[in-house]
Amino acid sequence: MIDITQAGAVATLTLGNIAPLSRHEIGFALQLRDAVRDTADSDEVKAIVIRVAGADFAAPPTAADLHAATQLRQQSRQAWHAAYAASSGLYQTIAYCKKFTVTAVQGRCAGAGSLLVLCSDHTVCAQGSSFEAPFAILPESNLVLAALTLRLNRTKSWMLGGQAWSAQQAVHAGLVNRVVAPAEVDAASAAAAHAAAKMPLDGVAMTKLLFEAYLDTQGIGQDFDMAGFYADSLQLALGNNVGSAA
Amino acid sequence: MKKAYGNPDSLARAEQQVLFEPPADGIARITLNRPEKHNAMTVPMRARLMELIHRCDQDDAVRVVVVAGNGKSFCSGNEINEDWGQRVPGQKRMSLTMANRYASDLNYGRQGFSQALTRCSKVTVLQLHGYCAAAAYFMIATRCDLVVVNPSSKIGALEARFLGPAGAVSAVHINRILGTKAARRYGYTGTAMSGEDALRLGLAHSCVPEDRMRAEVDALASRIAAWPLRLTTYMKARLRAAESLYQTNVREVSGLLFSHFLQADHDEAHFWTQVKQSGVGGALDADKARLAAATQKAAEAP
Repeated sequence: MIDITQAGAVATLTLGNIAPLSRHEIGFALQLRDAVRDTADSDEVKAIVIRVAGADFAAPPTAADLHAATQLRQQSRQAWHAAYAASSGLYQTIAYCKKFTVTAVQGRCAGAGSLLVLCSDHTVCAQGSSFEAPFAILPESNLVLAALTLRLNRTKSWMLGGQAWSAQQAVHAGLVNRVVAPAEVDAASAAAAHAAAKMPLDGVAMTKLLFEAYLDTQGIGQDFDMAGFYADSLQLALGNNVGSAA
Repeated sequence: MKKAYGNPDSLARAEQQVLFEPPADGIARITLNRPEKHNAMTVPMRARLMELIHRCDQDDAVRVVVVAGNGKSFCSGNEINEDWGQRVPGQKRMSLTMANRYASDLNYGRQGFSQALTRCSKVTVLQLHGYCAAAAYFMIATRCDLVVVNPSSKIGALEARFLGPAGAVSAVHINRILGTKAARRYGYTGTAMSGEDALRLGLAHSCVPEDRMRAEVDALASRIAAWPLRLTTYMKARLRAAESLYQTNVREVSGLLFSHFLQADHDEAHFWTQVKQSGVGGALDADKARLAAATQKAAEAP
């Protein structure tokens, strides 16, 4: 399900489909978490590109996906938290990754896809891509990380405005670093990763350590810690009508 | 019972100076209505604004609160020439206790209207036209969730040019919204950002021509009002938590407090005279004309 290749000091993780993440399929989240963590632990790797093989980086989850996610969270609360929101879970493994991370976005980006973009260090997307806010549907969404990335009011606009951002809006807001033609997304993502990989290995590792300290001072970890409360609140808010937030 | 501050006149007028339209289709509207003073807010106006926000907060029929102003400007800030019971007769300035009450309970502390806006469980949308200066900038424009502006909006800590303390520079939420460089640039210079600037810097959600603002605000509010109430409540609870973690919902603008202890010099006295007549917006216009005349006089001097 996750194909890992390496060119020089850059590893590329290619996913077939991100939809299972928005459905809260714990096994898939752990598989991706392990792939990122193990790749980052290699001294041969300085940068990691995360891409999806399909036309969409992450299509918006359906009402059925969200319903499934709610059920999975209810059935396996601790396992869900551990896989997604905990310090050893998927999103913190990427946000606090030991190596430079790049997300390569084609097509639509919603739900868990938007969280991967927020957690990564650098994002390249295709012209015509769109980005949906994940906050109304995924309780592990980190609003503080969004506010830090986009600034406070842009986060509110994205969250409450009810419309997906175009690639141009995303780059203007600071969610995306570069917009290129669809055929150039992989090359541009690899170029960004290779540019970071020119830094000595210790330099990459130390820079990431320093950046992690900065993230901690801003409340990123604390917002992830609250994900269980947010999940309860979302369940109370929507009950079995979770699809209405999709 | 909470003491009502103000003078007989400002207390009597507050209800007409802050209009309230009860919720229709989930949208309540609060409109500042003191156009002859560019909607400068008296203490009773602020108290009423806070009471209305709390009322909306408790009312399940409300999903979105729209804030707007009648007349040429949204709001020029707080009314600063108001005797609202702050001074003991014969005392030159208000006491520190009263200054703290003014800051904490009537303005930007945890009990003030500014944080009542941020902590409101309903989505707040601001329709901002004309001047939005001083307290209106610190405590409303940068506190509402979504801000709709027009290209000729004039927004900022415009009072810093006359008062000295650039309170906006110390405000965590303004730094987080505009970015630190922009917060400093606008804070230290006291210049106004246009509607386009506000959009570019991230303060505004959208910038549309003035004659389309109402339609834009209504469309935005209607879209959000269509959400289930519990979803709105959830989203706002998330935002409150994030703003607490991100430290944007804290007391700010200590400069405003300090300003109450500053002695006005000649230029400032001129400014405040103008403020008395036409509010901060009118005073800024008059100041521009005064500066232009002084510049021309200097250029013509032999």
